[in-house]
Amino acid sequence: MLSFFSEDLAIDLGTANTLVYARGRGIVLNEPSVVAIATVRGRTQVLAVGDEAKLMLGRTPGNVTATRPLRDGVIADFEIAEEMIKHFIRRAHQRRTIVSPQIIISVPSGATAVERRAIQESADSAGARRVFLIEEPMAAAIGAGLPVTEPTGSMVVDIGGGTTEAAVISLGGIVYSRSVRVGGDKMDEAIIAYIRRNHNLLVGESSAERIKKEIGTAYPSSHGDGRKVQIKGRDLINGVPKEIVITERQIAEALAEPVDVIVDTVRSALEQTAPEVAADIVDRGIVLTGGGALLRGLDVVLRQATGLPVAIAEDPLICTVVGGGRALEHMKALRTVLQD
Amino acid sequence: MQYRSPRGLRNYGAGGAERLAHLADFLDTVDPKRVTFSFWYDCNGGAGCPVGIAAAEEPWFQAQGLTLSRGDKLSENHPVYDGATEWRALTRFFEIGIEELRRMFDRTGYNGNVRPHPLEVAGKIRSFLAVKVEAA
Repeated sequence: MLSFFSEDLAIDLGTANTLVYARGRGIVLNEPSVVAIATVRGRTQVLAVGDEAKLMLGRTPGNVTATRPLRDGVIADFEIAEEMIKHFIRRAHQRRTIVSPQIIISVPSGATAVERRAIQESADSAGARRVFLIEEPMAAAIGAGLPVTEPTGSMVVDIGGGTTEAAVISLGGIVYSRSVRVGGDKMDEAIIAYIRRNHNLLVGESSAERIKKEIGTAYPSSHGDGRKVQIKGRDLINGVPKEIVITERQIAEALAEPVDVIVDTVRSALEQTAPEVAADIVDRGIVLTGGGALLRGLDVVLRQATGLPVAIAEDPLICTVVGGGRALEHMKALRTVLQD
Repeated sequence: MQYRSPRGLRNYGAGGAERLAHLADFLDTVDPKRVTFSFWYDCNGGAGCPVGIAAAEEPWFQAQGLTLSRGDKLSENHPVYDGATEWRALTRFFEIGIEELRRMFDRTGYNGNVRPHPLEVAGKIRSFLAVKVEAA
């Protein structure tokens, strides 16, 4: 009865971005999972959260730190994460109703019981009436429109900022899942490490992310170096700012290691899948979700590695939160996919 | 042949050529899947540049003063020697110039291949040493 008066929320608490879905309104918030904190006379104060805080990353004065409270898909800094969740809930809810909301939060399938508890408690203390957890690959599969409750096997590979989850789903449950702590952030790190080693140039995380989005690929063209991009950073030899040109082929080389981990994860999940479900996957193929699905050529690499059809979900960045939102809207039908 | 670090030997300061020869012997035993020129060393899994792997794992090189600076992130791991880091550390450690180093430990020396076979790298080191001996 209370749910009739409250505006319930689904939250995709991601390492890179947090998205909030409000029942009846759709996605109401999509901001970076970044918090800027100032230390004044030994006390910490939250200065900014989300977009505003991301602008401060790497540019803060001594007493201010811009930090990501989630690492590898789970909460690394409990207090800051709690502040961030509270902030996003307040922004999304805006006290439109007097009844506290029910909240569904997605968690990596590889999260430990302690990590799940930490996320649940953060939402509790942020004022939720009731908190449900949903496993990220399940939410992503629902959001991608896969028939999760039907007696047929579907495979989803959700590549987020911190983790990659490969899961086989059937009859409203996860038949098998494998989670590795490799995602978009590790790709950025690999780009930074590559440029540092091969060009003696130190570039920041935002530059690495920009390079990945502009010319990043998992499958370089067979001829030529592909597209080029100019990047600026600090020369490690003489310490001065420098600009170099980097090619698509070089970025593919830089991304080879994290891409291999993703391919191995998918292969390993397929090897563990029961024959009947595997037969369904041969027919239906693999669906990629999450920001990492947008890496050019990743579908081609996976297709070649598995021999299966691979499709990218229609809007991979929002699949998880949309899936959580659908679970909110159809709570009765999808109750089995939620955990109290 | 299984490479054995001479743990029992008294530490002494080897010359650059001896260090390169040791690295070539070490590479004879390294799993090809681990060698990449994309980064110095990955603490999760141990892939990396031959020098990064040696600095991180081989006591003989560590006894010579070559170590790996480890960070939380992949990009923060790099070799350190005699107060210098990365390529500059290697020029001091192996007592050779950056161009010669790059021919042996960089994709540019392998037609752009970032994942050469360790035996290929070892062969290149030995050829370099042979030329150096002839020249001497």
